[in-house]
Amino acid sequence: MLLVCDHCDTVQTPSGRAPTVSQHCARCDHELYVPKPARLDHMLALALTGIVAFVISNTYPVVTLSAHGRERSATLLLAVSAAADQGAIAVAVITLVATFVLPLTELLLYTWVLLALREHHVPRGFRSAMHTLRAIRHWSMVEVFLLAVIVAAVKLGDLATVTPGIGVFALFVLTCCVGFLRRFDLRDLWTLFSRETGARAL
Amino acid sequence: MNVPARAMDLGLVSCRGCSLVSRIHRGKHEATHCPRCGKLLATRKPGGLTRAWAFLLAAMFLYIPANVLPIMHTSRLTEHRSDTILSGVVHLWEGGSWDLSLIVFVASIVIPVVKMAALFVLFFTAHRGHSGHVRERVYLLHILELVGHWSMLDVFVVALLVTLVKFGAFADVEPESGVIAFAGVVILTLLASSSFDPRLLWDAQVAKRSARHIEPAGAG
Repeated sequence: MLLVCDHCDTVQTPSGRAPTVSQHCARCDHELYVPKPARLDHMLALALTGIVAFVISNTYPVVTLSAHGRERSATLLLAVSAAADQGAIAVAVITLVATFVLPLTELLLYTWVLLALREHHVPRGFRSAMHTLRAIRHWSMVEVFLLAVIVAAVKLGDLATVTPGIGVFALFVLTCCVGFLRRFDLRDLWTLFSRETGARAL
Repeated sequence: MNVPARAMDLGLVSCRGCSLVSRIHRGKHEATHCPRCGKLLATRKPGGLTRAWAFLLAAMFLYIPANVLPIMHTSRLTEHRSDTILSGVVHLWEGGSWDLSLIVFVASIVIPVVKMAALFVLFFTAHRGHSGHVRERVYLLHILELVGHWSMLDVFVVALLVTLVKFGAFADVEPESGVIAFAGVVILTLLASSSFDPRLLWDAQVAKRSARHIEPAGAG
């Protein structure tokens, strides 16, 4: 088996130790990918929890503002539509895509792929799903939105009473789920795919 | 010193989509796709540095309006104010939340500036084929990719403020054009760092080492 470092393109063979031990590139010290079994159940649990958290964070307000007997709550989608109403279409689109569309797509694709692989079959559209999952990583920004909620709440502190809603806790859970999910290597799924379809590596 | 073999030199290619190692036939001009994931195989990211430079330069130009133009307008009874990125940080600091203003300062000012400067240095050194401190430069690129998207913070804050502050007659927040320019800067720097291939940095080292290797042989 040959290993090629993703960072510096150096070809090497795995050292004699157990192949599951993490190995580092001889030249650039970047961690080398050594095929290992995918932990489908762990990943699926995180994806499903993430979906639940996603639904809650979008149905309950993230913050509620009250002043002079009036109340106003914000959810993510309300923020998007308010920004669009004010003519800031670009802001609305960026917020919608980075904090709603992409995280949801990511969780659904994970669920779809993992459920099928658990049943030992390769789902339709597996390749496109995997490419999308890889591309999404840098563009979905739930964690940034979570921090933005806190900043916005503090900025309004002198104007009104700000109470955190259930949504913000769900957002926190969602951030954790997505974060942990990304710690699993997508290449493990490719390895599994190879085994299921009988494709062989060099 | 022994020059480690690159996949490129052995006619191998590691797929960018799924990391499967395949053979690529040099001299054959038709495109080869990865047998496993179907992605187009290329020894280095296509477009090379040109694409990365284009995104970075666009981001740098857009950075000027992003900071000069106000990002939002707040009106409260008699008070009207337009905030730029920087004045928003100052306002937050004066309001007593130094900790949060520090976070916003880092996310909106430090990260974009450092990222653009660092990418400039990376692209420039890769362009000139510098071969020193490669490991450190690759590490820098890695860090930049991890923190880059936090700069989007201010864009989301504006969207949230617009929603929350709809208290009819006595307060209103409107987004202004600066925020779009700023979002553009963040997106462009993300594109710039993702279109840069870190292997180019190592290639320069290989080129230098093999040149050194050949010299004495040529003399003798």
